[in-house]
Amino acid sequence: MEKIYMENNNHNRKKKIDGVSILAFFVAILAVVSLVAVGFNQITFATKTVQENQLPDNFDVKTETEVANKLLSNKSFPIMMHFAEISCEGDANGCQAGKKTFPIYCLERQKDTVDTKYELNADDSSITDVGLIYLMANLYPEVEMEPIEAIEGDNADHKVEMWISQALIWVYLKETGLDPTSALSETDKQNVFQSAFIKYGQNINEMNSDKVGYTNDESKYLVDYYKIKGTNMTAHQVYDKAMELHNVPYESAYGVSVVEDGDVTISQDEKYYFSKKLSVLENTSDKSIAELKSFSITLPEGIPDDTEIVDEQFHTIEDLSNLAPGTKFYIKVPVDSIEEAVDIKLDVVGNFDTLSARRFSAVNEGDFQQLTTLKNVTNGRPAEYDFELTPAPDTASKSSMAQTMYFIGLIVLLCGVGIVYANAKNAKVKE
Amino acid sequence: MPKMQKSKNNIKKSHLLLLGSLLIFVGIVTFSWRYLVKLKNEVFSEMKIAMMDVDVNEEIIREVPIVENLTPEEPQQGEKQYYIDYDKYLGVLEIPKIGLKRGFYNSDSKYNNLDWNVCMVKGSALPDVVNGNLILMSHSGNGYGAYFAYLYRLNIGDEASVTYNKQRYNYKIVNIYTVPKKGVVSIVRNYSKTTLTLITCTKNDDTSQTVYIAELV
Repeated sequence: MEKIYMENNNHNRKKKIDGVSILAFFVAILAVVSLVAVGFNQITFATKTVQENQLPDNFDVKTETEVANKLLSNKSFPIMMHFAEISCEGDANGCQAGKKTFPIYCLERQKDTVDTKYELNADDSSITDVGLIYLMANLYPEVEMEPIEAIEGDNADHKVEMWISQALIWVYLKETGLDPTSALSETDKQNVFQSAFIKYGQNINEMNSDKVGYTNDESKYLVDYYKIKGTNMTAHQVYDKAMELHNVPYESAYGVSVVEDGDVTISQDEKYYFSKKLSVLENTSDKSIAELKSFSITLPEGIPDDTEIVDEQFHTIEDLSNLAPGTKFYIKVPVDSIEEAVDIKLDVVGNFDTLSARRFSAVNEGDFQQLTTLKNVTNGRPAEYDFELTPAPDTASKSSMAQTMYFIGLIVLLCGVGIVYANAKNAKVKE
Repeated sequence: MPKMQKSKNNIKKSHLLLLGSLLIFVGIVTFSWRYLVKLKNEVFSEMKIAMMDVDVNEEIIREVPIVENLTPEEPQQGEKQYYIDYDKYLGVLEIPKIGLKRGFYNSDSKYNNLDWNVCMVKGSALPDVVNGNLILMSHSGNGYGAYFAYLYRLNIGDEASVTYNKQRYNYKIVNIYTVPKKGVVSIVRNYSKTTLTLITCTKNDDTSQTVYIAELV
């Protein structure tokens, strides 16, 4: 009986322990999930739209009046959207019946539109205005946008984002003078930023065929109502920053420089000199324009033998062609090989993932709107670093030699004086 | 006999007087040796600087007639070839604040010797090289050849100049720093400026050298 009781007791305890363990396990899981969720909420990042295909150098363009018509056709700022149509295979990622379309933006509002084949502008295919590149990099379709308030319904057709993107590009081109023939009036500009019709959620709902449930909030304009997904930056703020970047020269929009830390040192056995600790700093106007992916180092010709680049642990870096951003390194120079002044000039190239804004024109047609879109490219930007060393033999004070000479001279002089004095005195006494 | 001894004593005394006089002379010469050498040195230096001012083109750079048709690659007859006369000063360093005016030789010259002259470091650039760096060194202290003995009196903003090829290049000191004496010195300068670097031992410190960086103004 006693045995049975003990067994039961053990059994119950086991059960109890199992229950506690399971509870603890679930609490732990809950805690981890909560932490991850909190962490994710604190991270803000722009959501890039997936553009699997970069647009080729020529494509068919289709215009669509839906956005314009939906957007208050009687209220002065309609937008005709352009779509580049390219061939595709399968039925995934928006490919339908072997065709796929991408929104593409107009650079010349006052000109007519046409459905035709477009190709890269032969004379001037590259746009180097940093502000415009930034603007396009932070508007649809490069990033997804969303209303600042949670809404019900689907926003899959992106009509509002397209309207905002094209409208802001036109306003930017007018304000910066990049489109000198822009027919955009001050009223048009006001319409983009302040027009009453843009305030009304009802009107926005009209644009969205999917019946998104906007509220009638008169305190917000459309460009203030939409933000880059995953951030708190509204379309209006994107435009403002683009205007700030307008005067940044394209050459300095992104680049690298070599920064140094600490002092030049010599190894304990005094056989090697080490430069200051070096690293490559990314200087970019905005990460959305360009991002450093790697860098390379080239040692020049004619430097002392066995000069090499070493890492933070002073190990030789063999492959200097593909170093990760943030890598710190030293230049290591054998002391014995420095026979004359030498300037070790490092050539550093930062490899950036960046965006190129391209200009397209209608093929064999009249004077129609030019179009633009971005393309991902990889560009290298150079930097230099000089490490100058010179042999410096002992330039010690030579005073000890001079003092010895003084001393010897003085002793000899005094000896001479003593001898002369003693003999001259004796001679005088005897006389 | 006493007469002979007296005569002997006189001779001995005269010898001793002669020896004493000789020692006095040698002592004076040894005692003032540094000043004499310095005086001679300054006189010669001034002469060389004066010569350099007068005939840079005619004497430092001379025309050398070319022997005709040695090889097809040889310069054609009538072409001029130049060489630098290493026995002449290449340039003159002046630092008014410490009263220094001293010529220096080309780095390949046999006279470009730290023990005798201000020394131009091989591999350093001449003053007319844009963004180049002319590096000069000399001893400190008070012995012969210690031309940079008073560099320690210089401060940032003080002026120095180098006369080279009849052009005067004026510099202003922008940085002074000390490095351990290890036989090699790291130059810290602005590489977008033409600079003059002066190196000597740190005053009252046998273990370090002081580097003075001056930029062209």
